[in-house]
Amino acid sequence: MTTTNKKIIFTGPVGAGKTTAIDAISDISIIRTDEYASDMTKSRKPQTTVAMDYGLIRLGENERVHLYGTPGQERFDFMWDILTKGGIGLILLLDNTRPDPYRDMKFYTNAFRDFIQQEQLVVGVTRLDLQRKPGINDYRSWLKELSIDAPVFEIDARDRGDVTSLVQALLYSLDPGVTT
Amino acid sequence: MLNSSNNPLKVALLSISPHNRAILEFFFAGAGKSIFQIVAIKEAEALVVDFDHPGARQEWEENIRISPIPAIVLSVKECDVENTVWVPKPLTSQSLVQSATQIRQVLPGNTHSTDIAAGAEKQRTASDMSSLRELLDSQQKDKQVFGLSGWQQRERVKATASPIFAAAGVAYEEDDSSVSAVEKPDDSIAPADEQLIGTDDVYVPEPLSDDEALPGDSSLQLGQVTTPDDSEQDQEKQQQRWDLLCGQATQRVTAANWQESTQLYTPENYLLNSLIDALNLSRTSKQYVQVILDSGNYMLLMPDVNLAYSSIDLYSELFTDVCGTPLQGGKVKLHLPSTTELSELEEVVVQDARQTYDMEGLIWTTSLLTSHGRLSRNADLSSPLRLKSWPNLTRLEQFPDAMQIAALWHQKAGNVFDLSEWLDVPQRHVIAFFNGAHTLGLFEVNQGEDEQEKQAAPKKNRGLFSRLLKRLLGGGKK
Repeated sequence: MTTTNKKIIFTGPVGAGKTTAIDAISDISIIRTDEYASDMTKSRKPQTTVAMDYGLIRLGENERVHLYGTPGQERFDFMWDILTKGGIGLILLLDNTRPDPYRDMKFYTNAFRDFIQQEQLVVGVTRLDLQRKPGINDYRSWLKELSIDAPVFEIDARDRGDVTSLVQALLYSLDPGVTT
Repeated sequence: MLNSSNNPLKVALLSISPHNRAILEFFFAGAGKSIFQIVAIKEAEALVVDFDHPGARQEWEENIRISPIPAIVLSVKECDVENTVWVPKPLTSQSLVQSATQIRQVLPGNTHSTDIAAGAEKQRTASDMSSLRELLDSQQKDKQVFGLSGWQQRERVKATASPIFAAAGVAYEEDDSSVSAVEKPDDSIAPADEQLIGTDDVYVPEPLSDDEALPGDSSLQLGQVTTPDDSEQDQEKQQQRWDLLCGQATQRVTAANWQESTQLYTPENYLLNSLIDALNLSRTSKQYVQVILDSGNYMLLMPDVNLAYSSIDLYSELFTDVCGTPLQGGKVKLHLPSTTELSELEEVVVQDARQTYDMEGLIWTTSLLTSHGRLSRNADLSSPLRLKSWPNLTRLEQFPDAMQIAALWHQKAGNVFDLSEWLDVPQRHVIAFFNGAHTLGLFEVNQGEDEQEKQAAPKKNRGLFSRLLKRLLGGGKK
């Protein structure tokens, strides 16, 4: 019997909450790039470096949704095109406390340009509670400026409900006829 | 196309950061598997060197003095060095595949020996990658891994599955001072492709076998539903709140009869109208605006931080009453606070932060409690509308079907009657969404552009999406 596998990709700059967001909805303890794990699990050293964070949602014996988080540091090294193969959508997390969230948005939407055109993007803005400007309206305008149609939500990456809302928006954008 | 040789190009990785190594191995184990093979340096036909990595260039120079084999150079800045092929960053699978082709052309015994520099030039200027793309796609169709490659993955699983993280079985040791080729650390570890699982859709690494449950995961049953608290009492409260926000009307009105319906309201008669005026004023003047009721209660809009304070709790009966009761003229005042007043108000806000809301959240809830599932008597429903931007639904009061309505309305222009019919959801939910989003200025009249293609996208994943949503919304482990 074949197993159906789908993939959702989480991307964004370092510290935007990708690992945390995946962890919030993953069925398994996520496998992290050592960039994150080194501080938290020093006792587990030595570690194997992995290319991406990884989490999983099992829907049954034969259906799995794989959650991949891109390493935030590898802005110039990462092979974005490989990662997106087989993906159903992209969740872009942006940290509102970073110096230039617009530049971050531009970089990542450009890196995944082809994929976004074919599939679906959802944007989650983190740390708006710490830094209220720019606001959600600014992000909407920036997306328009970049000719991208995508939902933008304020989220707390630690909050399962918020991360679920991002996935919900992604799935409904792909198919508004989905029922629950 | 690639060199006629069917064997992968044997390459050795010189000093490189652990992440970049992982990324390359990830590629070499999957899509690039038949194109590259990582070997020890003495067996290598070519080197792969990251010139951006400290010391890597010197290491490469030392190596080629001993054995002058060609190299694939990865770097952000252009590199024009003899006997190398430059692959610019950010790396792409196409450029790596192309670099293998160019290296093959200069290997001994190749009848099509080409100047490698010319090849490198081609790499820089090539714009038509279609044949490479086809090749790559065929490779990926054949077998694709995502995330973890081969033994690394197994090692990780071992490490995670065991409560003791011993040094034994380390996948490889980083050694910046010497060439470090990747080798299997343990004969018992299966080759990469044995750890792949095949599907009709994508090929992914199998991170865990059934026997290798991760710590903390053992109690998890498939489809298990735990939190959130869904006691009957909570559900009843939730339903009551939705009734306040969306009304309870079950009958559908139509484009032909809605104006005769009793389910209409006049926004100008309510607090909502003053709040919208205040919102516009605060946004244009970029000043704090206070909306003062004759009872002394007030709302303060703070445009610089997109927040609003309400002296009445939004979830209280009093606020519902204030929103739902028509006001007489003069009962609400808009006020621009002075500097002294502002500092006093800010103190109140700080002390009573619990009643500080997202500014759009205040407007949204006020709009819904005011309209209570009714349409505005002044609504212009003659032209199809399109949702130009999604509301920030994670910070607004939600009600059933809101997300679905937003998705469809963003893709397809229509009116409230169309939407409830298309989605087959209660019309009161569509009307509530329309009222809230319209008040926030999120709709635009459809300009007659072609509807987005996505709406016609095949629905082959609908079943899986549905199960995923049920799983996430129903709870689960977390």
